[in-house]
Amino acid sequence: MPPMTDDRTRPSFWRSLAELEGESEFREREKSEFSREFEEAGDGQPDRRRFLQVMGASLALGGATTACRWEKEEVLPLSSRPEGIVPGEPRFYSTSMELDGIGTGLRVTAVDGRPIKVEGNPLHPESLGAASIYQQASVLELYDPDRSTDIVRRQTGASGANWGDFDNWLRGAIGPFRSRRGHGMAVLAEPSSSPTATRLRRQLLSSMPEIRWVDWAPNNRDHEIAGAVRAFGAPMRQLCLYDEAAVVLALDVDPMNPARPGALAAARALTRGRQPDQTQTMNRIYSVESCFSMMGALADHRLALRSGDIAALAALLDARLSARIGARADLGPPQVEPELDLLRTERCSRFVDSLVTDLLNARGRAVVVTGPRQPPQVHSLVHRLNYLLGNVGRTVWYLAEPDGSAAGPGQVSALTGLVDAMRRGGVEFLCILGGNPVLDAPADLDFGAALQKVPNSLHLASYEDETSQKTTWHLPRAHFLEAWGDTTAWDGTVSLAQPLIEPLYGGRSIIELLSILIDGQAKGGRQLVRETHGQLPDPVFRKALHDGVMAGTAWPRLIPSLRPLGKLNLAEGAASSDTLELVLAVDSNVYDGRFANNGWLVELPDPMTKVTWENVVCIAPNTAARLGIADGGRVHLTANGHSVTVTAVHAPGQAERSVKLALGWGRTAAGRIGGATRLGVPAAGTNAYVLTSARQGLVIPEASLRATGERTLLATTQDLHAIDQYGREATNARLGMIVREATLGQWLSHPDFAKTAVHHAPLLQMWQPPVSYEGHRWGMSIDLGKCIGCNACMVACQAENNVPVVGKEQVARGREMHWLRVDRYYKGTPDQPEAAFQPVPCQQCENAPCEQVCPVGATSHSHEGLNDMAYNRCIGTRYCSNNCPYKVRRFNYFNFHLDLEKPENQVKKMVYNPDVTVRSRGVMEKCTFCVQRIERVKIQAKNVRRPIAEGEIVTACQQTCPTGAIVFGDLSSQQSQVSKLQALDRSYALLEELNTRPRVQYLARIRNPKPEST
Amino acid sequence: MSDADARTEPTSSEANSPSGKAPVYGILAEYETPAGLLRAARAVRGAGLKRWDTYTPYPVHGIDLAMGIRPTRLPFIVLGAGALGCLTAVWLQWYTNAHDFPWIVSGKPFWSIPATIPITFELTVLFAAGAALFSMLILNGLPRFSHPLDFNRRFARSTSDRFFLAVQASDPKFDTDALRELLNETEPLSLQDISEDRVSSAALPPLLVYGLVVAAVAALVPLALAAKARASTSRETRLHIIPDMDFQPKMKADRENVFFDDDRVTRLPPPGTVAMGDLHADDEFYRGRHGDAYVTAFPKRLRIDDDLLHRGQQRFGIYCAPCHGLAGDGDGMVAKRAEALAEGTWVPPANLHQDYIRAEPVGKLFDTITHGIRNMPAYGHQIPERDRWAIVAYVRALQLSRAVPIQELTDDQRKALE
Amino acid sequence: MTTLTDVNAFQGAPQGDNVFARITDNVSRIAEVPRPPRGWYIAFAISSSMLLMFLANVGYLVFTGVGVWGNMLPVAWGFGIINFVFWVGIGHAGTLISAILYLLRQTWRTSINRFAEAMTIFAVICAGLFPALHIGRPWLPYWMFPIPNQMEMWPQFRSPLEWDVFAVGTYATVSLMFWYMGMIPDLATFRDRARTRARRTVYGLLAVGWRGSSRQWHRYEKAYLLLAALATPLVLSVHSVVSFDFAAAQLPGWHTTIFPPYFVAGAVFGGFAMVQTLAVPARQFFGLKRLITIDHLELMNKILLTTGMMVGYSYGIEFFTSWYSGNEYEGFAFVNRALGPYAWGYWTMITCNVVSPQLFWFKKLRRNLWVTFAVGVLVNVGMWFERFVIIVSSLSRDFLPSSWGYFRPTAVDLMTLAGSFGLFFTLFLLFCRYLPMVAMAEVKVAVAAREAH
Repeated sequence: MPPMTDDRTRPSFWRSLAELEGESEFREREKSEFSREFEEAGDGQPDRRRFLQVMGASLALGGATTACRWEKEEVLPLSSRPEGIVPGEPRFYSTSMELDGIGTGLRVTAVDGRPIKVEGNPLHPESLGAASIYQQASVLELYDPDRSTDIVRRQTGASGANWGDFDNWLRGAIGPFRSRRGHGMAVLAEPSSSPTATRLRRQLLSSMPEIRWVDWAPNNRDHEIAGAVRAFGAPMRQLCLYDEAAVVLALDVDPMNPARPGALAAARALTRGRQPDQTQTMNRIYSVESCFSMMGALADHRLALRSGDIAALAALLDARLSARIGARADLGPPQVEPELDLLRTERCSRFVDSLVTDLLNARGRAVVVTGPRQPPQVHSLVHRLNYLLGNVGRTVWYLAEPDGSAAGPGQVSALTGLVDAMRRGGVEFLCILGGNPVLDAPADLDFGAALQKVPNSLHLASYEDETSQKTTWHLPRAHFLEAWGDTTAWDGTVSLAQPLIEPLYGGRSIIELLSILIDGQAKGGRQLVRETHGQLPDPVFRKALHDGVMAGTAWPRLIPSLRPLGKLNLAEGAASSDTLELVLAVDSNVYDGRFANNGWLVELPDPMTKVTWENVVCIAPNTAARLGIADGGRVHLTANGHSVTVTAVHAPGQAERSVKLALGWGRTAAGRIGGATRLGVPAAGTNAYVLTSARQGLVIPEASLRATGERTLLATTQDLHAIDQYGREATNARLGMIVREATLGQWLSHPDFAKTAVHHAPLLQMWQPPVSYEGHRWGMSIDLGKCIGCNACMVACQAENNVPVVGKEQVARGREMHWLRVDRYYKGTPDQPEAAFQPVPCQQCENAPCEQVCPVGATSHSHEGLNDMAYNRCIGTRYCSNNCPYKVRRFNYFNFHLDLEKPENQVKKMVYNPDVTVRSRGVMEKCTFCVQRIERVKIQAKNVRRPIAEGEIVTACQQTCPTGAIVFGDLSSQQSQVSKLQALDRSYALLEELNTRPRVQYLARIRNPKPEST
Repeated sequence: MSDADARTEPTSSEANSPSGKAPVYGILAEYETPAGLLRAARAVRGAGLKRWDTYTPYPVHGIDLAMGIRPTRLPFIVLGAGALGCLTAVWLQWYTNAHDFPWIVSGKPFWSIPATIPITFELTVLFAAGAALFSMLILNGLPRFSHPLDFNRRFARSTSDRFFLAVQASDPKFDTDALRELLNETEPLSLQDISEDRVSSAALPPLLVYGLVVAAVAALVPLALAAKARASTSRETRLHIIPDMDFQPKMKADRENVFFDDDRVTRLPPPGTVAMGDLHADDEFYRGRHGDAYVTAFPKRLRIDDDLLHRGQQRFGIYCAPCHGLAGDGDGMVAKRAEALAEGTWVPPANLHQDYIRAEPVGKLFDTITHGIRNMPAYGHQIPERDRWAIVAYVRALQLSRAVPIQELTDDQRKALE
Repeated sequence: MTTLTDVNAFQGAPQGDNVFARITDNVSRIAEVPRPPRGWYIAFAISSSMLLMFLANVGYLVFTGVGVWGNMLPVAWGFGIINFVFWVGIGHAGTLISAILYLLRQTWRTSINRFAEAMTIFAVICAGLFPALHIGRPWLPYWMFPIPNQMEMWPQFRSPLEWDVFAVGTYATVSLMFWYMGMIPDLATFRDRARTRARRTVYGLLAVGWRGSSRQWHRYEKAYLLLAALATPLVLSVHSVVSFDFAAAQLPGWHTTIFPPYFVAGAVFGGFAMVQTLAVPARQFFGLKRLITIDHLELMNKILLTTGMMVGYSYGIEFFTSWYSGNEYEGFAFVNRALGPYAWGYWTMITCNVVSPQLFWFKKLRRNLWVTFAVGVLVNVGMWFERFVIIVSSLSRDFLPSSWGYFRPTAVDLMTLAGSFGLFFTLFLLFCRYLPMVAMAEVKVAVAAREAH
């Protein structure tokens, strides 16, 4: 779609829009909002039906039962209680969760045998004690009432079948294939690095070698592996030691994105280099990317470049560096400097110059890394760059890919082959283990149609999803918290996965199903895992279960020899200068769609756009202006001959002439949240898979965008209303006071800049406070330099504190309930913005403005300085929220738990933390510093008459933060980490000029851009 | 048409028979203008009468002077009420927020004057205003729903456009003829005798009476219900219309959860799982076994000392003595009772001094406490490992104390035995 | 027009052989005629159906949750509190007119004070409902009263909202007493004119046996004077306290010391506007032209002009202070008011409150009924928007831009607002029908005084 024509077709109006900026923009938005206001009669929205059917009538005043009498409760204790189990006392188990073949070690809290909270396992290299949003939210999926509950057999249509019937059927059905050594049978599995799964797979293939086994995940590592094969002749994976790197260059990749393997560890390592308090030195991060990512926000230098153009930049880099370092015979010939205008732009050349000098100065202490979006040739070139800079063996290592997983021609081609076979009728029996290929296989393969040609097929899945509805058998899959298993981390470390609870719906795990395929024997998961690790004696095995990791199982680090590379084909994947590039990526929240029915993730704001409940087209403001696409306007997006209608959002930092759309939304068989045609629940967001094709990867060079002229109201948690010009000016004026940051140089010359950023009257007390807070003074320190905006803290808080999901309409009204929010601020120009994140929990002010205005004293101060809420006393005047300058208070506008009255939702209740009140309608709530955790530790300490140890109390947000940006503790002891941090010169209180005396303080962000001189 | 005129036709009985059946209330003179009334008032006052009054549709200027009405004390009542309101407010705020239940709010002091000013002011005004209205009514003898004058048709115009003067017969100086003369000089529109109120007994209109009765009865109903509730018992739980947060959709320990077949919230951990801290690698300590054999010596990590034995004694007293008896002879209270009842199924608790028990390895004893034996229940979930070992140690001590070779005893101990 | 023909039912010389009788007759007959004019029925039909709508919406709110209103975070106070402040403001003119003008011996007040006071009562009733409805758990407002309880939980007396409870409560009570006390003699008149037993009983009860004896009058006048003296500072205090809800908060755009006087001026302004909107039609329909004369209306128009300019001055000085304070947030709060997303609300307010009263510089317009009525309505609208601007625009954009929001009212919001007018007018129409609309006794005093001189 040539934008020029667009300009011509709708001339002056849109230009004037571009000129008038927000001014007219906001008028537009405001009109539309008011008009839609009056047709919408308060409720009755589809989203309301999706979530709060509740509201409609429901005469239950406060909520719960409609009976007018005090409820009768039954008490059913265990008749014989096993050793070590105390009712209501939490127990902790190590286990691990696998996401597309990468395992992350977890510590799961169980109360009365019900897992209620997931944390990272400090011993696990992938986690280091942190957990990503996916792991945090996994416990909600366990209790999702929409999970598939029983076996469905299509032919008969009956869902009565039980595992016995299935086993019998399978034994019969698989017989002929055995005799034919598996010919005509195929397995389509989601990638797994589980040693047990691998073992069973080998057994299966050895018994029936003709079986066609294909791994498939939309978030696959094909390019990466192909690149490694290109560079080393063998599949290799790159292990980057970011914490030892002085300079990091990320080419179109966000190593900290939880969708990436090793994300948590990478985040920890990258930010470790960004706390200059002792060393006075920092690493420097360069990021070249098409879509604004957390890495881009963390970077000191960021260059927005279309994904298709990054190969050229890499080539340029290689040419320059080789020229400076001198030819290295062993590495083959360098690239020739590409002659492209886009590299000649003033911004780009300045970027490259400083990058080259930095990389040369940091030889051996640098890391160059790229991501799955980039074609294999870029991967191989990145390997070469690392060799060239002598990083390999110091900051960059290589690990041999375990055979079986992901080797071979690559998943896409394998899948293509399989689909051909299916079409040709070459597949009589297809076992789909996990995954959801009907949804996420490349659209042009039309997997669904091919599947119809397969006489017998089965799908083992947690939900009866798009694929299940097309297979002859659907088998309920056990959630990982219900099943035995084992996983392998990125670095090869093996960890065992033990179940926290018996399968709620009698599901089976992949390994259990595999064992039947092998010899018709349905073995238990534990037995299978035990067999895999048969060499281990019992005590060692138990220890492995207990710790969650098998010590010393990491793979050896290698330095493979690099093959000479040919010249890069820059035409490949590069979009011509006037076309629009479409970048598809697994979503930051719902991943490839498997979490689309997880309320916590669906309502979690996107890290950058802060949009919830749907996926949007991110487009650079300038490009949008040229194409005449308004913020929040609906657009037709066309690529690969398919078209979707989706909402566009002006995303500062998106590369020019490049748009991004997240995959995984628009589900038609996800459930009551993600959307289910069966239940009449409209899909959340738009299905972007229809745009994918097997030929191209996730970067599509030729796409077109057309405004429909409609507008929608996005459910965003920030910038809920289009910010007009005056608002924007004010925001920019305030930014320096809210998020205080300086360059390393500035900070070294003015160490107290954070304290002096705001000029205000001396903060005096008008009177003696009634308490002096002897004893504990709880406080928190949040390091803005370390916050990467990953939102893990938000989900952790939601899980710990029973924070409800309120639905799209309510979020659009600004009624989201997150106790902890992560604010995202853009600085600089829209086309070259910097972004900063700021987590904002309740600041627990000592002079809390909320307290004095409450007419019933529902919120008041504890003697430890906590700003307490007495939910039962609150009558809901909402005055406290008005008077809170941080706007951290949240109000229950409805009873957001009414849906739990429905019988099918009973199971949802099990996810709630029994230590925390489940708030009802009409009361105010807010962050409590996880007071239940504080009290638990205080009680434990008191029972044995010991003082509370430093670091013994951790809040949910602190515990899960991958970078350790959040630190909670006792300010009354000088030794505590939090008081040390608050004593640092870059520590400041938000809006301190109001003299609210917050107990939360922020550490100003220090960035390390290359000084202009030198 | 003027209904006022229509109603002022005096019926002969009223006008001309003062000394009727009803006693005389007094004399009523009617005037067209305030001026006339003022004249009359001065005249009557001059005659030194006390019990008389004038009735006007509006406060007539100068009548107070003419009648010599003394200024009312109402303002002082109002002043007092205001002061009372002021004090009440200050006390209320001090008592509730600073004394009875002080709580920390925005780092402010529990008691400070500025914050109390608005409410203090409001209550002062409220009390004073209330006093003004009600003391006016009371001082004026209101409410009074019936008055002799009401039965005079003409008098009805006193609230519209006529001016009246009435002298009561009860006045010591009351003399009908003299008074008539006096008043006639002031040229009243009419002059008539008023007989004493005939229905003053039924001061309240019946409608009001019924109303009050009904209200009074209704007011008793809640009390009656409360009394009934206190007196009687009910299987029903109490009324509870708005649940608010009294029952929350979360799983509390040991409660019901219909989701599971056994209706229990509590789930048992799947077999083979290992919780943090449950590794219990040290078999000797946690299972009392070495490989499969019971340990014969106490685990190394255990220091057998007085503390341990005392702990053991105490735990033994709590958990074991009820059956096994304080000395371990199997004669605990429970055992005795069971024997007394001669329960057929009763397996008497073992006497811990039997040889086979003395011979058992400590590991076996530990294992028995942990898992129970015969009808002795398992104590594993109640007694932590260390305490179990302490009990075992104490049992061993008990057993030793029974098997001391005679020569190991001191002399007086021997004597005591003999 | 139909109304005028209906009105004729009330026209024609009032009966009676002297001026007092005529006054009595003129006022009393309104409440005595067997059936009021069709205009009254039409008005009553409309207002009472609006009242029904109000009740329906309130029921929905109570059963479903305050979320059916549009308020959200950060704008946690929406129409609920706007309407509360608006109605409390309306409620001011009544008592103010009666009390202050009484103290100032402004005899012209006698013609309007009665229904001005009635207006106060009804407005305060409307006002009182909203705070109770807007709270999250509308079944618990009594927790704001200091009721002894076993939990020792008391109200928090440092909260301006708590001050409100007492201020508005006191104001409602005192206004009621003031109104009732003024009515006692007139109720007695009704009683004495009553021809049916029912009327005699009801009015008899209400008049508590008033006989207009001079000794009673003596205490009555003293008490009334004191009540007036007490009510005057009360009127000023109430809206000052209401303004503390905002002034005592630290929100930019709320946190200003000018609020108390500014709110009081605004309240008087709005109150008089409402009196005009009611007086003009009332004197038409009920034939009170002789009692509520054009001069009275003109006097009130002058007050409107004055207070209107006071309000305008406050609007101006707010901007000056915010600029002069040099405070980033204060400064923006006001720029945002005039130019931000809610500029339309702000300029509506300015037009109605500051511009429209300027018409009253011209005597011709001051004495023109239509203009008077129109401006009265406009000012009411403007005063509602004043509260809208103060509450919504300040809340929607406070300190942290990340939490800025945009408040959109729901249909329930609008219907509830409209419905509250239904409640107000229903009560007012009932008052016109059954109670003495003009303080007869006081008018007679005035007349007598005039004749004396």
